[in-house]
Amino acid sequence: MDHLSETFQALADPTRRAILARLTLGELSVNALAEPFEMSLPAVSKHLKVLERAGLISRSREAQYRPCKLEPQSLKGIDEWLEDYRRFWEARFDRLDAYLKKIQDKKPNRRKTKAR
Amino acid sequence: MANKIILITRLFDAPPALVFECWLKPEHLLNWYSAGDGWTTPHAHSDGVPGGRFNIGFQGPDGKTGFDFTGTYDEVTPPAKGKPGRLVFSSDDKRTMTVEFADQGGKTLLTLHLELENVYPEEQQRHGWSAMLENLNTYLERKAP
Repeated sequence: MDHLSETFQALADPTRRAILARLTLGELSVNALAEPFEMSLPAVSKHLKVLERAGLISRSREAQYRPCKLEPQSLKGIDEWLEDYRRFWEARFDRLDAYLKKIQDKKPNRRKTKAR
Repeated sequence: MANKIILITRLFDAPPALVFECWLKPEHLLNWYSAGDGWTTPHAHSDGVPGGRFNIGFQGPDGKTGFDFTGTYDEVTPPAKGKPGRLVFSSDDKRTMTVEFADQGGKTLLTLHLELENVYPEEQQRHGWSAMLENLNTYLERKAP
């Protein structure tokens, strides 16, 4: 699986998205992260492993409680992917726009279009 | 709705019925649905009905690179008086898109939704992607170099 697919798959789960949302506020321990969820610590750890594998979070190896933190670079990948996609569609819509102008100008019964 | 990302919106200076037709009829698709500037669309097939198939060919500027974009229409609702048109289609690689054609004083407000959960459908969705990505943007604005 490519990296972006792994990122999307990690984000496909609502619990994992909630975990990420909490981490946007700062580093947290696994215990603190688990608190609002009705879920065992091992279950939360499992989600964290998926997020870590996708590069969305990292866990400090220095402190004993190994706090989790967000890895903004990985999230930026999604943002860039969406931006590329958006640009692709913008260009395609420019072509549709030009085409619509062309075919409407040919039909005298339709409203005339104005240049933007 | 909450599980969709609004990818892009655009106001077209043409009535919804015509813009809708441009998305559905091969003779129109050939003229604008290419993969990029310099790319051509050598063929386009579209059943244009729910459950029907589409197959649009893309050829690169070098004349050699190319691929077919194939998939199925999930919903085909032409715009009617006071009701926006809707087109939902899924490519064979499981990406679903929803296109809405709303009338705005004789012009067409087009909204393109990308359904991300269909890219990875194994989990039921509870929260919206859009909210997540909005948080993300705020976060990135704050943090990214």
